[in-house]
Amino acid sequence: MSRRPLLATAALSRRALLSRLVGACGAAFLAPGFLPLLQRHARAQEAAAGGAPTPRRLVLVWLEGGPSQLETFDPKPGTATGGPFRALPTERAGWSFSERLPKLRDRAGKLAVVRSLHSKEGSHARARLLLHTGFVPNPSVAYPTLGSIVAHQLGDPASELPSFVQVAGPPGSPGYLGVAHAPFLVARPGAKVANLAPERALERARVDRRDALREALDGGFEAEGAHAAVARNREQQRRARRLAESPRTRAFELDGESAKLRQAYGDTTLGQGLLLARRLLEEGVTAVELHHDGWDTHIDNFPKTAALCDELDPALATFLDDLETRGLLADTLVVCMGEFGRTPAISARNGRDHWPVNYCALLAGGGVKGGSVVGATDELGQSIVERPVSVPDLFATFAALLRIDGSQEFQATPRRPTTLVDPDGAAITELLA
Amino acid sequence: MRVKWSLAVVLLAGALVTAAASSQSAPASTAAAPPAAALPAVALPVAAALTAEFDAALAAAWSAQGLVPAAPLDEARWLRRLSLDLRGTIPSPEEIERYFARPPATRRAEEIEAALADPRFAETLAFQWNDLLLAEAGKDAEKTARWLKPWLAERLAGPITFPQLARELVAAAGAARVPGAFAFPLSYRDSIETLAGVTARAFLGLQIQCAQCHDHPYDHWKQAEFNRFAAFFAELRGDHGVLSEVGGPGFRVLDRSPEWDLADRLADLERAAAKMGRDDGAMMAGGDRAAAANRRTPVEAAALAELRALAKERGPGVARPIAAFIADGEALAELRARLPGDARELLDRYVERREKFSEAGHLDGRPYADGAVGTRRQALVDWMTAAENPWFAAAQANRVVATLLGKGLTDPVDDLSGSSDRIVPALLERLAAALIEQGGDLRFLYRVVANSRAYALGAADDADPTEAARRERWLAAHPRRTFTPEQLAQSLLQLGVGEGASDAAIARTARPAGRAAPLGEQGDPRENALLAELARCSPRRSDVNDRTLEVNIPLALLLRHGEEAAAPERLKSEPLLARLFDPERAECDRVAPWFLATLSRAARPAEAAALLAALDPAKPRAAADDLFFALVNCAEFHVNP
Repeated sequence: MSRRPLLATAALSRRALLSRLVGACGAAFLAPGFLPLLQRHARAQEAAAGGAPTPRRLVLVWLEGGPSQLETFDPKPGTATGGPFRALPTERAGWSFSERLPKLRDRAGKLAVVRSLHSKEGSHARARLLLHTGFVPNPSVAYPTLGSIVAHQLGDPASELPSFVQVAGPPGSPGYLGVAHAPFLVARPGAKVANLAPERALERARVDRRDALREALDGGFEAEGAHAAVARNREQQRRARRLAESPRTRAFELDGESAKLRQAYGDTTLGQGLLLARRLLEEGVTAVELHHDGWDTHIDNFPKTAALCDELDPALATFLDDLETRGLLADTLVVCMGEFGRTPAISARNGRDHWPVNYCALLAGGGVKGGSVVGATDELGQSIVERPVSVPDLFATFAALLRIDGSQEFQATPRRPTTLVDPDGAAITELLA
Repeated sequence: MRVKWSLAVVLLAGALVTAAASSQSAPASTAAAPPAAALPAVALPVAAALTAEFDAALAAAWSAQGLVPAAPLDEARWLRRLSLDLRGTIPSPEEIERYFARPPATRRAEEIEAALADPRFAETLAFQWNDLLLAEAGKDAEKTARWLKPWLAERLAGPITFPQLARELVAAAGAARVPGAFAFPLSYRDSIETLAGVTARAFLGLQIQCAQCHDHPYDHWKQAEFNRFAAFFAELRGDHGVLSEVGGPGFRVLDRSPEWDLADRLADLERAAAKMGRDDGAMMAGGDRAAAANRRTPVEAAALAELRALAKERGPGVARPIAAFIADGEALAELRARLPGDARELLDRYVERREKFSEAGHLDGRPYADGAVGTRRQALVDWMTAAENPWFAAAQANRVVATLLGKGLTDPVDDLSGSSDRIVPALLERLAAALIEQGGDLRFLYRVVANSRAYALGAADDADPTEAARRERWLAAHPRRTFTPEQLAQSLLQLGVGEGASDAAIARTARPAGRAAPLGEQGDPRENALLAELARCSPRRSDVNDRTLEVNIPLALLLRHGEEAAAPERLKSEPLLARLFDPERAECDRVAPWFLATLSRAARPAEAAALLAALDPAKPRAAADDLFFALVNCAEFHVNP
């Protein structure tokens, strides 16, 4: 199967890129916000042309509800807290996976697991925000979600598809980075993008005419002084049309994939969602987030978590294999985590409750040193005994792996600048290849 | 030559043109506001006097800052702005026609009064308050809104004061089939800190929520002060289920002692565990060790039995046995070690919170003692709504200013104590004092600000964005805002979009057959379908005070070619199509119905010419579709001027 080019444009010099886009779309694109985006990407392209690595991509597999670390990445079999499942050892002493994740265990050489993640947030809403933004939630500041940060920093403005796509789950917020970096939502993998077909049914000449009519009105409004409003509208209209006319939207449809591959991913939202993610990455999308719901197992933790692992294991393993086969893994950071872990003590309802004291995150791909495990917990999994990792540390690590400068400042509110990543975090150097 | 748009509208509407009309749209050539004759005397003298004070104070501030206020807004656009702000929708062509048929000297003030009396005003406010009150309600906010919004809309439709609103929400107590105001405290019953933070923000304009974990980073609130404030909610208890008080399923909010809450919760957990048949037996095959760890001891069983008995009792006697138990450190430790996870968590929280929230105290240091008058929450509302409260009236006044003029006198709108960005502080004090004098009448402030010259200013030319931002901050120019989802949905529906909403679109938001509608769910199915589409397209901004949508790709696609954006039939009728291509008519006149319906104004000659030149008379329906497309997708349509 031939490899499609990853980006819509070939590597162009910064000037050529700028002039090409300006020529195509008019000076309106030098509206505030767009030029910096162009510049960022052009810089990245230039760096690539000069031999530096290509901009990386992100895939975040979000395990909604707080996955139990004891039934996934930090099992403690045979102990009072360990539950009924066994553990599968890896080649490295002291590192094992739950027996419900055999395929991931088999690929441990490509993975890195952090076992000592901790935070103070035990409520879903706050912890979800913390793990998506890297900052303790604060109602006065709209921190951007991780996918929006990546789209903002590394997204290709010439991409015909949106730079950040989210599959299932409530949409994350782009915060102070603005609506241009909001996730493009796909409710179900394989579902067609809404409202594209009618645009396509019209003749191009007619669409041109309509846009010209709209532009006539916009020109008048701009002449009155509404520069920002018109620039934004032109931009979104242009991107909407470009998306509608782009043949790359076939990436959203899964019918062309082989039945065997689809089966390997698993006939689940997560499985097909990861297949969709791979296709989107191939067509120029920079960040994809997938939501896998159901991990909040206060009741009946064991059968429920087992069922969820049965979905996660083949989906994620096949995804990593698929990326590698297509040469995409080296430049794609894959992260799998939830908002907290679950209590070692098993409750009266045979469940585990919220536990932000020590929990796990899994990383793979783009710059990650495979076969690494960071941090350790005690025998019963009730406390961290080695190398605690805070959420700011985790985000500093993401920034390092994605080659993003986390210290950039933004005016989040009129009074308070904030950095992209919490400056209190330090990247986990053990994980950097 | 600048076309006098409002004049053109009047002509087109067929109304009589009065001599005074020409003075309405004449742009001011100097920094001065339009001549006094243009803004008529308001019916209520007190509001009028305050409006004059308001304008004078701002004018003085602008002069001192060397700011030139923007030219006044054209009257047609003013009507669009007012209609969006107070009625939540763009004005219909009929409403525009009726407005311009009235005598110019009094029509603005009359329109404001009509809008304030319109039930849509109550709905618009209900959306705003709903979002403020449920700001931290998380995933359940949408479900809860279905209860809260109708209650708010109903209450706000009648004459109501801000203190009444505060009392009915913050001190809500009792039992009912339909939660109504109870939805507010019930949303936060698991975290009174969150409830305290939201209450302070919405009603007092204070951002104390940061202080729940540590002393506030840049404001003066200490954690101890926060805890004393939150303690006013410590007795709050809410639940839902089959209630004897309502003879069936219902919702209840009460003030009880914390001990009661613990006893009930422990009893609930015990019942749940017993129901699952997992008492002291094995949790599941092979889980003996886990089961043993959770086996209850006699101490624990006795404690739970005692608590169960206490749950049956009512009255102050409850406090002592638990307090005694807690005071015995050894018994407490043993109980703690043996309780199952959830119950242990509860006990820990209870003990911690007994300390943390034992003492309630007001944020301004005013003394408070339990048992003096009524419940803690009632005492809190008494303090909040008292005339001496430093923040309540100012917070409401600031919010009204921000809602109508784009920014408050203090910015952010709800950071009265922490913000250093204030203009004309004396003016906010004056507005607050006036509001108190008026008994907190909600519509009074809206009347004052909507009748002001400041509200009639146009927008700044933002070729120089910094200068434009500065003028907007000083309220010397009005920001160009976009629509909230409700405003966009209402405006599109009013246009007739969605008339032909497919059964599929409506079905998508309908409930599965056989499921009874939850109490309080209402609304037009077309509106719900459209709102659902808009919600899908465009996530809300994260700032609870700015609920506007920005056009993004999915929304642009929807408006370009979604079902909901098809040109409505009423704009494609035979007479209108004939008019569009009628060579006897002036070009502006030919496109007038479409412009009025979408942009609330007449077309300029250049626009009309450009548009008509591109349309094909051989296919009039397609031409109407194209014209509608352009009008609904242009930037101006999405701007609240």
